[in-house]
Amino acid sequence: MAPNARFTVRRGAAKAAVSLTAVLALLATAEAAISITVLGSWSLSLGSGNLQGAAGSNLTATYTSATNQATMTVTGSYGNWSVSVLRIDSSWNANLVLSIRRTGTGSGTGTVSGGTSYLTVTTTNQTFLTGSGNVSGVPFQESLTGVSVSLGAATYSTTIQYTITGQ
Amino acid sequence: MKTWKTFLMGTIITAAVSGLAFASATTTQTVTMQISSISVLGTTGNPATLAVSAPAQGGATPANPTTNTTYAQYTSTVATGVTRRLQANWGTTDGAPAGCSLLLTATPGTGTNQGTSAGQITMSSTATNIVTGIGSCATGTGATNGAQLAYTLSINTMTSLVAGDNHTVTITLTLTDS
Repeated sequence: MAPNARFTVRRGAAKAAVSLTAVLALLATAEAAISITVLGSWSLSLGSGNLQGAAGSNLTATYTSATNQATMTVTGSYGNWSVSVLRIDSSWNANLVLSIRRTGTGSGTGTVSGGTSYLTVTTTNQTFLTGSGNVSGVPFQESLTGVSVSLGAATYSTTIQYTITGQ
Repeated sequence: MKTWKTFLMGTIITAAVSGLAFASATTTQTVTMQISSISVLGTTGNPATLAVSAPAQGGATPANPTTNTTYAQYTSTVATGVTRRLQANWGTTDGAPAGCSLLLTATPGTGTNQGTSAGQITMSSTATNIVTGIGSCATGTGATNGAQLAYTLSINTMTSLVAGDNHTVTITLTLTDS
């Protein structure tokens, strides 16, 4: 066998190994999943102290949470993403309207945009905001309207589901 | 060999590109609102004095004086299946002028769950229903909102009336679970 032929085979194998390693590294990166965390629940307790006035008056109809009632963190991102929301009711009333908005940009190397106007959260998925990269502590504020004595003495509960889609 | 390696590399790169495609994740947050039992009652003020006036014609019995310018106003929240009632009574030392009795009829507003009149009652020291079936409601706070309270001083025995026999009584209204 010619000496040059044996050298060519070894160099070609090395190049293939380097390429394969690079691709496998890329595959490992792609498999690191984007993740979303939302911290903070909202709980309201209403009674006679929430009446609009004296005996005969109704409950105040609208309640607003703290501006950072919930905070969102996105990790594992290396590109653009969007967050959608929907409501999953457990014991809700159709007269209650729950809305959400973003009140800040949080921190981190990523960016976030949209969602600064109240969005009514329905049982259908809706895009809430978008962004790119990793962000931490993005604050949300919530609003509840439609409260009335006609709802009776009861507890109403729902779950907001946040879904992030992206890279 | 070269063709096979090219095919293999292409497959791996395709798989890698697929891994770069969009991924998704979800999380949730709970929102809860609790409305407690509310029972708040008030009135629009004191009724006018029930004064027995002379009849237009001698020999006739004076008319029973009445007043219906005051209202009971209430805000109520109850659990499903629960109702409340509005009751009235006066103190154990209260009473009507001799030969008379004090009657009360409460007529609730037409709003949902504001209740049903229990009809006319004769005032006593025993709490007696004047409105029943009150559910979750708010009567309103306007001058004519709520259950209208119609008081009548009924002259039962003309010959028992004593001129100047004036009585001031305190009527207690109570909103309570049925």
